[in-house]
Amino acid sequence: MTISVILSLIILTPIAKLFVNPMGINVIENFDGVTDLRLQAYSFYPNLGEGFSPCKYNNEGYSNLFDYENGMSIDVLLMGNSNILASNIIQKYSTANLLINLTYKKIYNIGMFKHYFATCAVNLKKAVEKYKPSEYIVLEIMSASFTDEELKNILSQKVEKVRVITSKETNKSDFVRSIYYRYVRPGLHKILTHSSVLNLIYTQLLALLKHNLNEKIISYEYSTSQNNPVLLSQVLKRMAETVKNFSHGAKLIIAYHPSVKLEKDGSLKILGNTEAVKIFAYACEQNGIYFVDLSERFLSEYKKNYTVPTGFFNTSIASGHMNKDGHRMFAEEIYKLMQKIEGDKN
Amino acid sequence: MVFTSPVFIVFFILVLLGTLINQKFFNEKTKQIFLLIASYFFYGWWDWRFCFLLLFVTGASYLTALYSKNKFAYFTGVIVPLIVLGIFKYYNFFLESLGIASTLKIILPVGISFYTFQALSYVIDVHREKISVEKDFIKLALYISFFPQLVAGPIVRAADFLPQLHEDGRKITAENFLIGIQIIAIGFFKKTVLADHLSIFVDDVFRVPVAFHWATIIFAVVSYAMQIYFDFSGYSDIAIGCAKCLGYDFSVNFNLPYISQNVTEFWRRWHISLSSWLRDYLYIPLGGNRLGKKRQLINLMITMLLGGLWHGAKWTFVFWGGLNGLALCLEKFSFKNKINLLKPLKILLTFAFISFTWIFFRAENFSDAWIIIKRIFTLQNGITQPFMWTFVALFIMIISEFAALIKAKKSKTEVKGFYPIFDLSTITGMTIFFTFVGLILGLAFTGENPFVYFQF
Repeated sequence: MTISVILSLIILTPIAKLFVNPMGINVIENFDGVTDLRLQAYSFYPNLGEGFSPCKYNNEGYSNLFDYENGMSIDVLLMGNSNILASNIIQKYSTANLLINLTYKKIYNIGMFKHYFATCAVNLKKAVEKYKPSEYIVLEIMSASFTDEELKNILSQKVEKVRVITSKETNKSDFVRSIYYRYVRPGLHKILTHSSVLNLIYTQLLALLKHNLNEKIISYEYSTSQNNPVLLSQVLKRMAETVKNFSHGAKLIIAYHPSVKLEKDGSLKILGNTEAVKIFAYACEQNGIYFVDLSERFLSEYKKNYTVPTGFFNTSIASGHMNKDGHRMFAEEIYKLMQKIEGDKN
Repeated sequence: MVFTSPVFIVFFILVLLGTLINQKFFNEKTKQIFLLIASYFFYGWWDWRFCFLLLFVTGASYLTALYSKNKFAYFTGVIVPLIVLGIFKYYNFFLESLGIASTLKIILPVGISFYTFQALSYVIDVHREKISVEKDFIKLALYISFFPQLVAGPIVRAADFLPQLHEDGRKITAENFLIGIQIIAIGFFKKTVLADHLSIFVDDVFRVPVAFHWATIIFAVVSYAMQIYFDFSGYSDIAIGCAKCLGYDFSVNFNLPYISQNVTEFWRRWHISLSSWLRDYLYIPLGGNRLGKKRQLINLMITMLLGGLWHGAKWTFVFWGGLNGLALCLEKFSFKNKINLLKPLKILLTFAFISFTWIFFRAENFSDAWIIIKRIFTLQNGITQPFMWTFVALFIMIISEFAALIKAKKSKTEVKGFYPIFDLSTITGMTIFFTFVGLILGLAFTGENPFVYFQF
């Protein structure tokens, strides 16, 4: 029986390798504070469960086609969540690499799972201090509506650290949690990162127990929080000051891409709170931050050639993460803005 | 309690253990009482109130069969399950069809179409003296409510199952168990890996057909043809496997239906327990082919229209049945013997026709079905999207059909589906089994997706 188990593990390994989700047990905590998590250096997760990404992460565990070396000069720093991480598409089609081709600038992508606006806002200082981008910092967001509590947490730097996969975890360090972090998780991590088969099964069991890795993305689609203009302005002001004080003269661009849904009549609907987006855009303008809203672009591309920005050949259409077309639209809109900014400057 | 849920796995392990204890320390009778309680528990998991309905149908069948030579008793035995089915499944449908707004909200009890048909077949077979009356209420109740086949079939005949309850050798044995779990694993693979993944794409396209390119819609229709096959035959496999583990045998319910060269053959291979039920208890009593060609046509159409209605209280199902009936009639009297095509072409054409009819089966209403057909035939533009799992499912289906073809050619017999059962006492057998289980665990769709046939 033991021989059979070992043999079947060997047979299953190449298949499992294709399907292991890079999220989950595979992420490790990042202690430099630039992001809360990162992947292991040079790890390889094709992620065939949603899209396909047959490429390795770089020496820092981020999705870039090149390694980062200390003191490297960076023109544009990309921040954001799993969408900008682009663990679902071939790396050369990611926003980061499309922007490299469009702008010929040195662009570094530190997009990471679950790094939504609040986390990025808190990490912004350390990220800017470390990479010192000289031209732009592009922060990708998929929700532009926030509660007062979320904004207050950003201002007081009390945003919960992104830890591991379950959203049910809290900051309370109870006994069970400490045991889990001290003994269980490191042990599991060791075993699972060495066996793709067990790693895949572990992720499947977690999903079965309703710890869906993408649950936060889904919940953001229907966010109804209304932005408090005063609090939001304070947050954005602080972010603008951080960029001004710690970068080499870079400009902050916040790029918002909403979730979409196919309506029964065949039209594409933009999800999210449009009023809150307007407030967000206005607050950005007031604080010298450039704001890009992808809503119109998504709608016009769909009208023109039925292109949807999300969904893959192995998942539901028009849902989940940005696909190749979504990244193309995202990169093109940022490029347009950069051209406009540089045109205005000249 | 869905077969593919963790709750069912725990339930089944407990049932196996309980049955083993009964086998070891008690007699056959207590084992059957235990299985009956387990079956009612399984059914009551959805809604315990419907256990009383199940008990009522069983009681009515039991009593009327005891006096089935009496015309009134026989009539009652036939009419009671039909009334129960009519009220719970078709009451609102008929009222709405007559344009009367119904104020009564009736919940459709899970599996009602299956157990009422089993009860009916028992009463009719006793009346026809095909089987002897079952005097032991426990045995009859277990036949009607036996959990592997209770909610989505196969529709087991009393003549096939009741004798097994009288045999002493029906026990959990290592041999039965090792065969049973392999059949269960095959069912799990079909359902959780193939059908559930296919449903993602199918649901997307059928929800908003106006958004999709004609080629994508064709792709979705083919995907649905495979989804429903893997879903329902997967369920049947799990049912057959569970019964086998407990020492009982069910007949196969699907025999490579998409290898059929015509629609008549398709219905001999698809949902065999239902098509044979309709043949024996509807088509033949209507006169079958004994009353001339015209009457045979009418009988065929009635059988298929009612067969369609059995699947759901919607006109789209009736229309689906009608389309199949029409094809059967045409084949009976004209095309089948006159058209001489290559075998693969015949298979392809039959698959295309059956897939076309599935449009009405899957669409929410006629309007959606019409949109789908119109978009295909007018080559409409829209979202183009291939789907990985369709290729995976197609590949597996073709491979298994080729395996059956090769086996049939070697043994010089008819092409038949078969379960690849391995000897789990060998390293090779065990390795293949573990690999298969690993594939199921690793690739299974983990969202919620009940079996398609639960709604029937």
